[in-house]
Amino acid sequence: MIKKLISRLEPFDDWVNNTSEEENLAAKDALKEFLWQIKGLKPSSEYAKSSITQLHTSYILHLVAVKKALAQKKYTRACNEIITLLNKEPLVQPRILNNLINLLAEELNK
Amino acid sequence: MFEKLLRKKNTDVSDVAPKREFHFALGFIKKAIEDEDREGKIEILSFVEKLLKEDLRSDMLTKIIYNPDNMLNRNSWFPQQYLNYDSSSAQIIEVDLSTACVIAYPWNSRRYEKMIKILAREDFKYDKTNHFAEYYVPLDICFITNGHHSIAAGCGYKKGSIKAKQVDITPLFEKIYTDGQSWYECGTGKKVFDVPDFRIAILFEIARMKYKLQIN
Repeated sequence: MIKKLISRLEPFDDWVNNTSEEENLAAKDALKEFLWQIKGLKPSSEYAKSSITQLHTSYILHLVAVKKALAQKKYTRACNEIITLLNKEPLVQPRILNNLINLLAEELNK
Repeated sequence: MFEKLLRKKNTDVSDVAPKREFHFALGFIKKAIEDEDREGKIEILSFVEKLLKEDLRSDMLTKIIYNPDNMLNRNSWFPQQYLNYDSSSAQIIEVDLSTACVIAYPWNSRRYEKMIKILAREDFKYDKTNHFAEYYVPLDICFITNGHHSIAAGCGYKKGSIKAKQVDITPLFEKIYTDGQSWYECGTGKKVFDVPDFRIAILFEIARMKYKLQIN
């Protein structure tokens, strides 16, 4: 499931965000589709930490990076940061899933 | 038996090392804001505050489902003995269960299930003899002290409101500090008591940082 989500964002993955307006907006559409997909996910009933840091709070680091990218309307960078999050943190933990849904819903509707 | 032990270990948020989490989170937050202007700093602090409130809220609402044997450490959230706070004359405010950050702790799965079923078909009714809460400013978090099951269900359905006593904890910023594990007295370093949850400690430090930025 995570691999499938990543594969949808990968064509738009560019941290530098040195893209045309058209490409940047295509990345925004991909993020909207990603949001729609993750809204349908069921939060996990088992507790898990980050597989990399073994910390509970390391998801904050990635969400702040996503927030900064979205605030600057750098959508390909946001795709890049979300892929990093998906690789390092357990997405379906309620703390990560709920916060990512709230963040994307708020920023993509601006 | 071994499997059961492993399962409990893997599903328990209290298994984290509070000091390590606290220092990691605070270290990251300080780095994330250092190159920002005052407004940018406040924006990032507010964002992380929002993340942690959602983390804490969703965790508390589901704790009984994930960890039926786990009981919350029911110490006070903050050392209120350091406040000049008179509970009998506290300002009463209305708290909307659909929008406010309300921390309720449903501790009995049978009662919780019953309230979830009732509120699926009825409106939430505030009961002044059952529902007690304290609303902490400037953190803007409402902690439930009684009526956890119905309020938790009300939060889940995003309906209803309750009345809460407002407690301004701003004076605590000068009087106590935390390492994520315990509260300590500023002047003496004397331990006051353990923090019930490391996320409260992080939220307290974020509120202190925001407060300092706002008064300067």
